[in-house]
Amino acid sequence: MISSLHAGHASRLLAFPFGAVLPAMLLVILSLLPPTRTREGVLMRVGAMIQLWLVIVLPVVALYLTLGFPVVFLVVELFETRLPPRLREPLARLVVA
Amino acid sequence: MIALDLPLPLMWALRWALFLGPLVAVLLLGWWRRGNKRMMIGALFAFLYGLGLIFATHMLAMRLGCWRYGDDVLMLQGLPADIWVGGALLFGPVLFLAFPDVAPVWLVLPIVVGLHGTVFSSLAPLVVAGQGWVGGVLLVFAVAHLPALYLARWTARDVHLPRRAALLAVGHGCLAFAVIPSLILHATGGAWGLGGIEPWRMAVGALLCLPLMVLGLSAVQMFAIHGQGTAIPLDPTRRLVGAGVFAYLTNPMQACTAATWIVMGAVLGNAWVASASIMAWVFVIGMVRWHHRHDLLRRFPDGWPEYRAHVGEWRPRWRPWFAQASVLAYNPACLKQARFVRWLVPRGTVSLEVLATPGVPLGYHEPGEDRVFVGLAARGKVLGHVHFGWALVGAAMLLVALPLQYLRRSRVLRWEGAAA
Repeated sequence: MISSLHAGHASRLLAFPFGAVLPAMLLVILSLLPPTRTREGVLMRVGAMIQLWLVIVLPVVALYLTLGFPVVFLVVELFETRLPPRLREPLARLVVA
Repeated sequence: MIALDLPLPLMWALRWALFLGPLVAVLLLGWWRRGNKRMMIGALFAFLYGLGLIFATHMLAMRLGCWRYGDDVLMLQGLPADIWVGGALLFGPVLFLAFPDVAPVWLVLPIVVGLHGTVFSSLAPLVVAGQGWVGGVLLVFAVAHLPALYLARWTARDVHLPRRAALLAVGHGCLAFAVIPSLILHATGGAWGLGGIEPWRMAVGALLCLPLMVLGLSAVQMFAIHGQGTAIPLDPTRRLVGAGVFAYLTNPMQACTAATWIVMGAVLGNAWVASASIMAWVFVIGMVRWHHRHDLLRRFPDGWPEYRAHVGEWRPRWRPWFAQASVLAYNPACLKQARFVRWLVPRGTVSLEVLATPGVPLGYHEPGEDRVFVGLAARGKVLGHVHFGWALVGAAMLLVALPLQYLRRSRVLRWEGAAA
């Protein structure tokens, strides 16, 4: 960002609050929220945090990741309702104690 | 008017401030007000409404030449995304959470006069004011900012449910049919290009969208009238709603949104916009079903499974399903009422008991409710007992009749209040 500013390009500087600070703040807020009632809620929150992290580190595809946010919830739903318990339980224990 | 000539670094700092200022403020104010759940929900609704309406009104104002934004960073249809989101935060959650008891018009007026009135035309190249920028500013404040603050206030106080439901529907409409397609077009390198679309294609698209809009708006109306709540689970209905279009479809709002995206994609000739309907399906599978299991099933352990077993998610039933029968009372001596009933009965209504009661106005009553629908509203409700086609006609009638009745009642109450 600094080097591009020296080169006379302010675009990265101007995009920084929206492209990095906003998702980072949302990430922090999600991690500080009180515990959820269900395991699905925890998994959805973890999925959303991963997606936000990807938005921050992959700015080139950030818009596509944002538009595809509902996929996070679909993955959690399919995980909870369609995956056989012998696979689901050990995987879920990696995230939820 | 103050003529400013700000150096470029100061313009950059101003753009940072216009986004980060409201963001930090909303975090601090949210932390301060975190104990008041309804206030927080009101703030969120104000933000979502503002997001949709600020975008739509800015598009209109820029098209009319009121102003244009300089630079090319984070642009969405000529609107800087950070300034847009910052505005939705400032003129929604921030002002509401900071001054929840101040009437919104007194919050907004000093900003219009004091800030926009003095420096708006001096902010080039951030924003370049054009002819009639004052009208543009007034439009944005009247249609986007002021209603957003009222929505937050009414939600926090749990008053004016019909107005709240209407504002949420407008906000959803702008988000779903202006913001999301714009984001998709931006991401896929497309453009609206409405000027280049053949008129017949626009006309067919509008005709196809009309029943879809009726379906979606009617669902919002039924939630407010029968459920005493909004379509958003944070401000949920108090009763399970199976009336009106819900007797045919469990997710009319998602279905209408998805179908409208398909129509929009066909009109624009853009497959990506049409494919947003897949995301609506993903949303229903991933989020809505979760909400059904963990909210509706817990609150309505008997009613919800029975309703869900009879009514589908996406494909509407042709004939309705109701858990209990409703009653239509009519006066056989009244020619108009008798003619309507004679037309109705051969069509084979479902779960409707027709009672001939001399001397009464045409009245429709649902089991377990105090409210009686009369006149045009009663006819609209009754059509929902025939089949899906007539139910849409009835829903359109209710979308006109019930707001008129509500406005008339509000005016009478105001007059009575003034007289007292």
